Amino acid sequence: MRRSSLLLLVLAGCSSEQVLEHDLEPIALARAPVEPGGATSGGLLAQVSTVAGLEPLLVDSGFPLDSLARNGCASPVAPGWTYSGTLDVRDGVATGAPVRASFRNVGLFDLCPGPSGDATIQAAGVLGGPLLANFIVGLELPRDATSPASMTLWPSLPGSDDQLAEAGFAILHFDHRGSVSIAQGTGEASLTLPSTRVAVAACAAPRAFATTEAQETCARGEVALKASGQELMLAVGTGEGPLILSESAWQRVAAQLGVAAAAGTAGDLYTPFSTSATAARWVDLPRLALFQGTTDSTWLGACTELARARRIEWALANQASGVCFQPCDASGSSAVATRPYLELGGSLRVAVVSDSSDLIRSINADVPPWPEIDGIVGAGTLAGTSLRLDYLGTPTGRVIAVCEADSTRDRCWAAPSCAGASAKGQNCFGLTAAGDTTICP
Amino acid sequence: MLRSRRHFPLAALAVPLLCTRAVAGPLDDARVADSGFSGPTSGDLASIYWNPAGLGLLQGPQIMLGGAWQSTSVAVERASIDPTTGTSPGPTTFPSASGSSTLHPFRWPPGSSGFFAIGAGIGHRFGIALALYSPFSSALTMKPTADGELPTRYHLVDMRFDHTALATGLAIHASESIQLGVVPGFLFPSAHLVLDEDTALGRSGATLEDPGMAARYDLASSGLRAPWYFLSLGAHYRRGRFSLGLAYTSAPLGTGGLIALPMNDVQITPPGGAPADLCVTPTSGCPVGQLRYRLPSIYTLGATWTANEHWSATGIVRWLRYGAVDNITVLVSGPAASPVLGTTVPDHIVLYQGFRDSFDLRGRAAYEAKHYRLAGTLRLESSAVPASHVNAAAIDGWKLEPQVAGEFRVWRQVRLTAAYTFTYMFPVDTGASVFNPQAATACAAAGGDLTTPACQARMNGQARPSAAGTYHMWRQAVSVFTSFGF
Repeated sequence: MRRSSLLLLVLAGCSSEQVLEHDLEPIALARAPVEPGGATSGGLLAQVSTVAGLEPLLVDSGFPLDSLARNGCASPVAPGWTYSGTLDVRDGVATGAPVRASFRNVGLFDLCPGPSGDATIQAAGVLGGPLLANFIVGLELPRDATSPASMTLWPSLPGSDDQLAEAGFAILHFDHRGSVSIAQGTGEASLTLPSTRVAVAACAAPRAFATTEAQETCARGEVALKASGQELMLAVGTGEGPLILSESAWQRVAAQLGVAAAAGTAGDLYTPFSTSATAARWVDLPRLALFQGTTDSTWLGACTELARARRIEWALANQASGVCFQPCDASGSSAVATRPYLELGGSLRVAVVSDSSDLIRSINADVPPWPEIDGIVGAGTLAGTSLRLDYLGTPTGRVIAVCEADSTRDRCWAAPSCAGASAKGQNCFGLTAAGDTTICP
Repeated sequence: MLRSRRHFPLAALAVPLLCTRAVAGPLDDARVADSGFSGPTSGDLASIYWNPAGLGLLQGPQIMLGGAWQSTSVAVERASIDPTTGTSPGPTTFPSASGSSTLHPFRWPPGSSGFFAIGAGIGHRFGIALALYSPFSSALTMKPTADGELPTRYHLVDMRFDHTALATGLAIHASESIQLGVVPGFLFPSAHLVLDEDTALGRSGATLEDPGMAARYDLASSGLRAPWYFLSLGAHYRRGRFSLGLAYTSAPLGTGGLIALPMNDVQITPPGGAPADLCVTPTSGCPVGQLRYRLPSIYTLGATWTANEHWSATGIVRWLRYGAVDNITVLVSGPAASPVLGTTVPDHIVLYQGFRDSFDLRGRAAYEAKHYRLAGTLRLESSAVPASHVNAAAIDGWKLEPQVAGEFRVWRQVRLTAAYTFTYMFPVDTGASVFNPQAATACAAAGGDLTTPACQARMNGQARPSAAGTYHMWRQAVSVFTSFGF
């Protein structure tokens, strides 16, 4: 059965071309609850037509495959394996669910994902990473749960990193991850899924910050010592609602927060990675800063980079008072470049799940030689932002982020890279450098 | 745009040969390296453009320098429209609009209508060359009418497309009568595009083509960008008095002919606004854009019959592989804090072009004496743009073009060639224009349903103000080339 399906898939690929038809207008998306009974600002939902009628279609950047259950998910017919078919993405909100994108002759898995958000939201398929990776995916994720989200599929995005940073966008580079071989059963032929997962570094639970606070001092060599928060590596999963953390990651964060590792409320997490509810413990996180997922020779880690960016921002905000940049943030007579980041605040819902859960094991199936992924940052956590997932960027992908209009800093703060805080006229953190700020002795 | 097709590897290899599409309008410059004598069977430095194999006929070191001054004029008589539907006919009439352009080599970036090449034949076995030229160029500026209106504003106000090629050529003698040649090259595009977008499109009950609702998009590239790559292959056969040349020039490689050109100088004037409206603060950045379009691949076939020591006749066919359906996509992004972009004014515009393959046929008779040559050429070119698709940004029809040329030996191996060309395009009456502004309204009413014809039209860039009318075009060109032999 599976062998013939695989053969059909291959033949389909050779004899016909994949057609990705879409326009450049936004596609309205509904949202699943972040948690059972929670705010409907969670996983993104389009609609799809199946034999059972209109059903939800999950839009999940974190899901490693594209799927559509040909017989719907209410049917008792056993799912198949793979096939070449059509995935019509329908408006997730409008009555009549107009077709807003059509992907024809694409490879699909004939399976149902797990419920999204709560047990009642059963998607018939997933528009996952492999299809999304053909585009730059623009996502508008309103904080207001009553407003629909939207997705726009772009063929490219104008502007270099510098231009976009100047325009106010935080550019978080990432390596594509997730390539893994899968098989329907032991000893059967396997398929290799492409690397489409967006993984970014994060600093969980850093201390609060305000440019009106007292200056943080930092001597040369102390840059890492002044960091606060817990380093994490997170996948961006728009089909999920909350921030999902492995138990081991949460224990590190809890230690940072000074709360008991067992804190929280027991409950269920409904995620496309598992067809049944995943046991979870629900807790709240005060803030989370997302950084690039790539590393280089000067990368210090998310929390250290966050602390550095805040110190340099503080100096710029208080430059009229004759302050100086801290020595640990200087190279020669200039402040070093800061890394772009997106800081999310408020009460962020976190689902803590077992390290051995389907979800955590799945997102780490490609671990070697990559760093372990500690969890997924879901659409509910990202509510209040506008994102563009640039899968097409070379040599690395980019998450291009900005906060929705009227965001307050404690809820959302997008900080582009600041590469010239010492230079007169340089615009960083919404501030203009006077150019006379020196390095502290 | 927006159908992207992805092939398996074998199919992908075939794409450049079989599936090349074009969106950028009839960009082909028929005057490139056209001294009035050059072609796929000639053996001079212009062969690097016409047929790389011709480089194998070079004798000794040579330099060729020249260019054309081309003046193009157009006239557009737009059909009347009904302002409530935007379709023709109706009570709103338009005065006749005119436009013009001049292409010449003396500008930056270089290459437009110019040609410079240096090369050498080596031991009757090899020919090598290096050249700078612009294989694809197009320019047109529409002039305001007496009452200050721009009847073609929603399709074109001003445009200039240049593609400077820096190419190296190599040809070898495969046998006494057969030469083979190859030209890998870099292509440096630059562009400037100005047009208006009717922000009332898609709004039920709105008056269409109201200048007060027009947003002006002015996008320009800056400097030379990272190049695209192309490849030309050619073969030349000569036996007795007969010569045959065949060449293929690819569209940009690796992208299916697609050019994605950054437009770093972008000004968008919202309806009733000023350009600065989209720059939130002077230091927070202004919009940046990108222009996405495709270039054609070209097949060239030529044959020359040398009747005697004085007279020869040449026939040339060029097959320009434009696609059947295509468009230009304008994308704009930033600044993040702008409340206008993406709401009051669109952050993208799709301009339908809808080209088809075109054929360029030339017949030439040449007379050669000891110190001079004379030639007369008649060119006939089919239209790359179906009549109903014609608009100010893509004016094309059947064209007839007589040309006279003379070449004189100034001193020893120094030759001067001059040619005059007049191009007449038979007037094109579009009939019912493919551009249908009602499609925008119908698509909006359908919730953007791509299964509806209206939304297919919007997706393809046809849901725009009508371009119905009659289009005229004529062009004069004077070209001068100098060649030096050593």
